Amino acid sequence: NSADSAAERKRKRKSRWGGSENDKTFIPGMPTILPSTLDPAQQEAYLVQFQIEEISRKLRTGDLGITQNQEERSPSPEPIYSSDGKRLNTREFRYRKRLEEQRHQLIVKMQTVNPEFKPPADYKPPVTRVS
Amino acid sequence: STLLDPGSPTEILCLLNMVLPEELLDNEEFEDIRSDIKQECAKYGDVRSIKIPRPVGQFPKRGCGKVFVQFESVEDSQKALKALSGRKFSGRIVMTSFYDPDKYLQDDLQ
Repeated sequence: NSADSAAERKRKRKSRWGGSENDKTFIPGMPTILPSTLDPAQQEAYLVQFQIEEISRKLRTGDLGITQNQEERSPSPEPIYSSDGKRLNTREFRYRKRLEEQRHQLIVKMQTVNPEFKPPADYKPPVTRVS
Repeated sequence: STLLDPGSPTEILCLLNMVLPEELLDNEEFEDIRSDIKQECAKYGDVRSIKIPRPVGQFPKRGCGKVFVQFESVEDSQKALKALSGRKFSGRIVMTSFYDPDKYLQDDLQ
């Protein structure tokens, strides 16, 4: 019945929390406690800037957040191979691509609020193909 | 550099950079997220209520992406603000702030 399946789900499921009070992640120069004096626009701009930096670090360090727990992963797509038989859409590739896309959206958002905004050095805007 | 003056503490804790609007669409996932947050916050004091604005259809509501937690006391909220800031949730770094209690009670979440 449904009560059983809910209990089973709870057992299998891992909490989304990571680290502990003594094991935190900090980005130098970017405080994670926000003053309540920021107005909503300032807070939003800071949040977007923080997220750009956060994703850049994931891409740089290769800590892409791939879960080790197989049960939590969604089904893999059909493999796509290159002409020499190497798989193109590996898990690592898919995670990286998703992060690149998220970062691109954030940078576009940031540039509309602040045209002076300098994107991270390793950022390349996606190529738009005309076909 | 990780600590800024958070301003006057209140019993309402606001958690940012934790959830994305699309993660709140599915009821089961929403309940899982809610209970994960409640469990962790309860370590710092009695949680009176939690508000997590959800998107309405494809439109994100105001305050969507933030989580608001009402504690029994300002001291508990202060403890949680310090303890949860910089922790990871779904792989993202949690940011914390205090929120205006009147706005919280009036559902003015932004």
